[in-house]
Amino acid sequence: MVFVPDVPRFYLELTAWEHLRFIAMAHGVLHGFDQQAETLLRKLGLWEARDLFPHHFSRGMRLKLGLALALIRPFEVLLLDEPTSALDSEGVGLLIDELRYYKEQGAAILLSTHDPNLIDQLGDRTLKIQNGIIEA
Amino acid sequence: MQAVHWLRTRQEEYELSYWLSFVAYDQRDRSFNNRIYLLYIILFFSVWIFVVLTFFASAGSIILRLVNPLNPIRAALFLEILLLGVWSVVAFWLSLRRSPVVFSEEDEVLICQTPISRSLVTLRWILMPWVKSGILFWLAAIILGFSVAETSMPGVITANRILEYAGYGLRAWVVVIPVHLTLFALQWAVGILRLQKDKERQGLAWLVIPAALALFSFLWIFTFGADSTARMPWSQIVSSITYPMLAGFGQGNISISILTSGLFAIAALAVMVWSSGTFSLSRAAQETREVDTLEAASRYGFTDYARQLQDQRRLGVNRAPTRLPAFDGAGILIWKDLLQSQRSFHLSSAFIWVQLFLLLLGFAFLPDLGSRALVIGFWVIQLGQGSVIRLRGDLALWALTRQLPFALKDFLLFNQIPAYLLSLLISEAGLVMGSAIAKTPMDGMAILLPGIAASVAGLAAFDVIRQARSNMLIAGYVPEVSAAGIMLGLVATAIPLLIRSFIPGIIGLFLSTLMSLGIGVLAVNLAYRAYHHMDAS
Repeated sequence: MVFVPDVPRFYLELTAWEHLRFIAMAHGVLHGFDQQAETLLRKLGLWEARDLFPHHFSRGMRLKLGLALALIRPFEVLLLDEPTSALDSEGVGLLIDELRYYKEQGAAILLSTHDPNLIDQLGDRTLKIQNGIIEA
Repeated sequence: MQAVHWLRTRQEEYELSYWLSFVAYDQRDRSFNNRIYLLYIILFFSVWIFVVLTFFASAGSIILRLVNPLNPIRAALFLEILLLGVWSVVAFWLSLRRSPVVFSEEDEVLICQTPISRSLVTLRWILMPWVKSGILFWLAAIILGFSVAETSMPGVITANRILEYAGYGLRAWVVVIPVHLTLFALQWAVGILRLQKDKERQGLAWLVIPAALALFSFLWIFTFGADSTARMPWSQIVSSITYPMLAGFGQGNISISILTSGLFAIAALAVMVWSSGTFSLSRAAQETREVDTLEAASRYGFTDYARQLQDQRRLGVNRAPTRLPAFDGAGILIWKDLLQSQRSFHLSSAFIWVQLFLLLLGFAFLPDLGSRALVIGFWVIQLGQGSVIRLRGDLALWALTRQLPFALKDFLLFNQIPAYLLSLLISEAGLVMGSAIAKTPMDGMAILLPGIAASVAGLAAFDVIRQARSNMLIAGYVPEVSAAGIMLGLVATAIPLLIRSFIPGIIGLFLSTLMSLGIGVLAVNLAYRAYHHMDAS
């Protein structure tokens, strides 16, 4: 299972690329890492920032790096907390495409959002919470 | 401008109330009792500071006689000029690298982006930083004044001569105030000139070299050249600068001295105001808001956040990918630890480890059990705090580290192993070196250290983890080692040492070693159980 919080936190001393490498090595998915990581970073628009420390990232870039760390390793369940809160429209479109791909691969995705567009495009099943009560 | 004055006054009051809170005085309490308490605080600390300064003045009088046995007043002036001069050169250099005028993030929004008169803002801003900077020099001047009194006043200084004695210190203080203000305002003026509205003057840092040379020449002429070359121009310049300050130590007219140095201070302030006409407040705020945040975090006890800000500044923006060899699986934690240590290394981060080394280096020199127990106590405290630095850092990234595919025990072990091995190596090195220098065998202690270090590190980790809550970890809040953790570490250290001291010979060594290793294993298991419990809750 993978969880991406709404405000991801990172190691001060590791660059974006090193964070990806850390996660990939921890999960033993180093085969083809360089190519896979480059593809992922380019899709998320972080390739030029791969050698920067995350504390110099904007909020949107931090969210994208959090997503990259989630997607670099295999998963069956993906939890996302407000994944579009800091993304621009292009970023949202990109995220929807990626999530749709993983959904088609059989992954279960659970996300919380205030974005109706995200719900319309991705939601197979929706739970609405109003005043702390789950509505249908 | 009224708004700026109001805002700055509020900031100054807030700062003052912070310092007054150390003596339990609440500015907001307008009761009669509280005002009496304020009077009491003023009187108490006036007397207390006076007494403390007289102690320093006793040592100061000895130093004055060493510097210039024939003329202690000249010695006092030399020391005062040296202090002010060195500080000026350093402050001058710092001003040329970063704005001396510090603005917070709130100031940046409320003031720096408005069309307010820059000169008036600078003039209003200088008060608090000047006072904070000046306190040390004022105290130094008073101490020097008292030292001069001790060398000048004949006979024993009794209670009925207190006012005369205090007068020496007061005179020196009154003279140094405008002198310090002059130098402070000039340092601000230089820093402000660098940051003008339409341009930033780069590369002015080289100006510090002629400033340092001028200081050196000044001191040289004052010390060796003024008497023999009294008619030369440079001697006249030196004399005109030193004359007002000499009056602070009893040579010369104090009124003329204050008037002269006061005029210098006003002139320096005028230069500062003139230089701020097109001062870029926004650029100054950009350069200093982080400094302000860091100072506030350190002052109000947010030490983790302050350390994080300092590390961010040191790391800079980017780095080329590391070439450190890495290992798959849980071994990647060691790779991460090495990389973090390599990139965040600086003198203050090494301080804990240096302390471990020095404490055990001195252990062999101590004659009795009591002093050794004290040293071991400090060692336990430092080791406990140092051994959980990485663990706390990883727990602060709970959302990231919890998802790593390692067994909980592996995560804990690989997290703690580098710190444990480093602390053990450093401690053993200190102990062995101290033992060799003092020619006192410490074999028993050296054998016990691995178990004791494991106990202390394990119990410190246990203490941090038992206090942690996953909802707080998600937000990045990680508890520190508490008093309970330190007490556990001390007890775990004391048990094998007591066994060793009560049961002599090889049997005592064997039993104490077994006990220390046993407690070490127990401590690690406790930490693991606490981690498992936290994870499950």
